Amino acid sequence: MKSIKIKADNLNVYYGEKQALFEVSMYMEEKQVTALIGPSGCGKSTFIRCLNRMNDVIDICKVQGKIEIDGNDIYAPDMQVEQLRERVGMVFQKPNPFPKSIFENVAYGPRIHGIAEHKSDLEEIVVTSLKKAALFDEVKDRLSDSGTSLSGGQQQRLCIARAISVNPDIILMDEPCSALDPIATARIEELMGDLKTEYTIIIVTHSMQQAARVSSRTGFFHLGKLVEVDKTEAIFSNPSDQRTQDYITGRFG
Amino acid sequence: MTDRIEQRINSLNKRLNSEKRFRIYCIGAMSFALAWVLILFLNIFSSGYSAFYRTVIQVDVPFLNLIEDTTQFSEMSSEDINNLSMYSFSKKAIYRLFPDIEEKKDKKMLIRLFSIEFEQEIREFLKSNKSNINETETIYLTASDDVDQVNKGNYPRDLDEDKRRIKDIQLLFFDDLVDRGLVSYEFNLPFLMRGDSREPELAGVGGSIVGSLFTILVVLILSFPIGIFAAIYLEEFAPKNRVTDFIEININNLAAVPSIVFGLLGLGIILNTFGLPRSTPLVGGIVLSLMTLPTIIIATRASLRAVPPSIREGALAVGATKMQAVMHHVVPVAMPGALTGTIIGLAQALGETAPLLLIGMVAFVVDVPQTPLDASASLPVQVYLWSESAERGYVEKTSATIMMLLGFLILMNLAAVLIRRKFETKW
Amino acid sequence: MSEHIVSSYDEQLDLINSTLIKMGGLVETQLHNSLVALGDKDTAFAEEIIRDDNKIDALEKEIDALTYKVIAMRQPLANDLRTVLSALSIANDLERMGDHATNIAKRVANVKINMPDTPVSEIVNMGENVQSMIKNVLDAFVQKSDKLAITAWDLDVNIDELYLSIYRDLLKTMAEDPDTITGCSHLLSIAKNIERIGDYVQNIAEDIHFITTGDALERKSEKRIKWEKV
Repeated sequence: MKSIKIKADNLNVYYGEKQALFEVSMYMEEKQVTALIGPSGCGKSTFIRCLNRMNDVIDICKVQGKIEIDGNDIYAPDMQVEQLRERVGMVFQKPNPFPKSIFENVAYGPRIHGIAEHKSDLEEIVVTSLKKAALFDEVKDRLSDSGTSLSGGQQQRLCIARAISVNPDIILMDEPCSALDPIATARIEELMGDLKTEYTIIIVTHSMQQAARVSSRTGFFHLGKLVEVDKTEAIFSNPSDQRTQDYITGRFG
Repeated sequence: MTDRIEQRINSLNKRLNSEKRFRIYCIGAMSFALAWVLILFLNIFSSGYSAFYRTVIQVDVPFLNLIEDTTQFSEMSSEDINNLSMYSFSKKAIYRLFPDIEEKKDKKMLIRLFSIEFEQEIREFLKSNKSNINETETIYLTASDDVDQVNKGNYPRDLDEDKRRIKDIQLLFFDDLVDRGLVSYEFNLPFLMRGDSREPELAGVGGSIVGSLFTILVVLILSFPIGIFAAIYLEEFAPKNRVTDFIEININNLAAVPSIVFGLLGLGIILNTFGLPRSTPLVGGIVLSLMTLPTIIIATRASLRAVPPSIREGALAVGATKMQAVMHHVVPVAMPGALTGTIIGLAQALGETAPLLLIGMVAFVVDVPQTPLDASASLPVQVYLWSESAERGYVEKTSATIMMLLGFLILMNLAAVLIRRKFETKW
Repeated sequence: MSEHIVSSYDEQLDLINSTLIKMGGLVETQLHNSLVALGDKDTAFAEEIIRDDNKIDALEKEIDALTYKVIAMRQPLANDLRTVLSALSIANDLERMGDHATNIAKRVANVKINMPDTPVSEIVNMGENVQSMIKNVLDAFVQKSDKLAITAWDLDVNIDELYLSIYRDLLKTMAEDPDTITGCSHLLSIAKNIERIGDYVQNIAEDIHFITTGDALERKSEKRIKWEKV
């Protein structure tokens, strides 16, 4: 059994008057891929955005409850949110590289966090990150080209490289493949298999098959509640809750 | 079955026909508007182009008559040359064109063929060529305004003598000089370099150009940083509450305030309360800055709003602070739009007249201003001033100034378009 | 259980279901007919029965094709996945059962065999027991009832007991009258065929248990064949 990296305890999230998450408690294991599935509006994106406090950006969002990473409450008043996001990276649904060069995209994070001072250190980090994101070979001759000149799948891998450039422990992925074609999707799934040896990965996905392929544990959300969370094989061959079974077999959703 | 098909074809034809008609209306409206613009431009161009040329008369000036040894000039300082008495010497040089005339009256008429500054022009020639003066030099002297207009064909020669400014004998002199090939038509560089003058042939637009440039410079230095940073703060950092809503409404309203009101503001506060010097580009710039600020703020805010939130999220997710996310990512993307707005605002400011009239940049200023604290006029004000003058010579200069003003405006707007196109990021 | 959002998915699963039930019915009939032919020593009927085996094989191929299609198109999960994979297994078992029933008819069709009456009636009795096992398990499948499946599974122990006693009787008969050796050998094989059918019914019962519960059936029979008593 791997050790616990992230623990959510009785999490309640409100957007103004409307409650989006109800008493969500779950843990996520270190250096494993945990998938979050559920129909639209079930709260899985809200949940994952709590893990790196991206919900802070939304004024009317209130978070109650505890989320601990390595035993530290990330909503504690003395937690610096920029430092949190250095340890918890995020990849979004629609690839969003900066409108700068490929090099700059990856170098930006290390630079602002003071990880690398000299140009040579930055170069090393950029090359390593691009290699880890399985993108280096395709772009090594054109690092000064704009990040937006790449194809959709390459842009997403660039965003992954950007996320790992600051050496996080955890990578959050919010439907990373939904805007990509099947081959680009397959490449990213392959990449996840390599990345999970170094990073803890949480992925929100609409595709049941993807969750079954990449994750070791899966959580099913419905109407803001965490209905069931278990080993992936159990969820997809014999789930305990009828709602889970109905959702994954396409009987509602 | 065929009835239905026919029906369909008919209704399709109706639609196509109404589309054709609509297109014709649109093209018609556009052509109408363009035609008027064309007429306007042609009108201004035809009356203004001649201002860029001037008439000069060739005169042989015997410097030997002024001093025995012309090499001595090279040792004299400008001060010394200024102190030389050259008035009668200069007149005599002109009389040499028609050595036969004797009557004082006729001689006076001859002198009047030249601009009032003929002595000064000869003096300037001496000063700039003092090390290399021959016994006799050929100098091109500026013709008077009347001669200039006659040469350009603007004066009707067939009116009665007492109904025109140029007299018959002057016309005789003129025609003779033309026959002798001494009258030439050259590019009017002094027009672009000198300040205003009571004499139309000497009046230049240089003072106004520099005045306008200084004014726009002041506007740029004041309104660009203030406008950009105000917009960034209001759009990205200010909390959304009643106070900021109130500010936003006021900024939008400021953009619609008539410009003359800003002139009154300038008069009342900047001149009277702060006591800054009248008629200067500094004050004009301050007043126009107040007018341009709302334009810049509104344009910049719109550009900032147009930046997709995904850029912000991407920066924040990597651990940037809000300030870093805005300054490193959002602002560079919004900059082309902000610059475009700034240039358009500056172009508007360039053409403003009413507020400048009120703060006094309408004075008659002869010298070209050296600093923004010197009194000056601006291009549109110059147009206003000259359009009020009686002399025929000012008509062409007014149109020429309008041409230059339009030219600058077109250039600035073109620059705005090009900047936007070059830096626009493709999503 | 609620229906799939995509109704054609439900239609495909229903088709697999109904084809399996049809196939089960054919197998039931095949066994019944073989027993009748055996009892009446009707060789002409036996020939017909042998030809009927093709229908069962054809249905198995149909079910194969249907399940492949559903797996490719629908990527079934959870209970749907169990249902579809088990359908393949059950069809296979039914086809084997059909073959064993046909084998009985093949032996009967051989005109020259003389099979003694008493063992024949015992065998027919055993066959009828198996018939009711088949009926039970098919009912269990139709109703998706775990209980009925387990009941069918348990009945196999009776079959084993009957087989043991028939085996003994046939050996005794052969020992007493060597002329009956040929006939009795065939009867031994026929009895074996029927006993195998019983085992396949147990397999189907285990599949039904898996479909309904998601677990493999862990069950021990109370008795086992004591070969040493023969």
